Amino acid sequence: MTIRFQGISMRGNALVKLVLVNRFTGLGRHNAERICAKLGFYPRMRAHQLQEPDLLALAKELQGYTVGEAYTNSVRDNIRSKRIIGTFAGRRHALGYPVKGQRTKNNGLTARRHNRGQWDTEKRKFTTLRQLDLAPSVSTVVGTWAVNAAVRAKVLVDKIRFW
Amino acid sequence: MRPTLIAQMRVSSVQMKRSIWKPPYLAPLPIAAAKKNNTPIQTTARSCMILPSFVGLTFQVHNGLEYLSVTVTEEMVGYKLGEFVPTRKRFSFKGELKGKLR
Repeated sequence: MTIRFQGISMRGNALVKLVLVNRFTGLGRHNAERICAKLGFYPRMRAHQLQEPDLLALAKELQGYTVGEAYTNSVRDNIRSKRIIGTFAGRRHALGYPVKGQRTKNNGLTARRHNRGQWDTEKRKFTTLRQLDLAPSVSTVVGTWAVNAAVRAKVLVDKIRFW
Repeated sequence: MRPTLIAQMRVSSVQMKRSIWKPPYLAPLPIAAAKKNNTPIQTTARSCMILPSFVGLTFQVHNGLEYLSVTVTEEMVGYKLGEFVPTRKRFSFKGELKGKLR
């Protein structure tokens, strides 16, 4: 049995606390435990034991936290602002190097993974926006209806995914 | 310690990473004279925090070898002066450098 909640589906027998930790970016163990304690979910509570009012209360409680897309956006914005004003940390992010003074002779792997992957503003996250920008130029260059339709469909799909 | 103080410190640790009961770290700088004469301030105090009153001024911050000029904008408030002047050069072979200069 799965329970649908805020666009995610959780297994019925999953621990509520761990669902909060694993499926909501921006919540760690500490916050998850705090939320559970506040709403009266006991520590070993499973998802299928949540009643409708519990889910509503959880949704209301989560509004007080920056979670999911909002959280990733805030992190990305912080990094971007550091890049724009040109701090040392911003430079290190841009180069994909460790930011907090770690060595780079060996073992830069974690930084490389973080800085060039998930949070990279240019490469991954804004592809949909870029495609939206590119759409008119593609249509003028090729000029056929079929291509336009394909582009439009792709943009639509991307839009849906983006929102 | 008083709980309010602890709470304040927790907030401050997120924002500026320094206890709030301390003032921001500052070095004595000729701010008033610089504002009057519109001259750059030459300094080695890289760890001096940028205050709102510094906005619009030009600093010449030491990078260990020479003084590089930084013009302070609004977004830079709360950072340190030294963060905008890198102390290390990226390694490049001599040949590469020549190619770029040409």
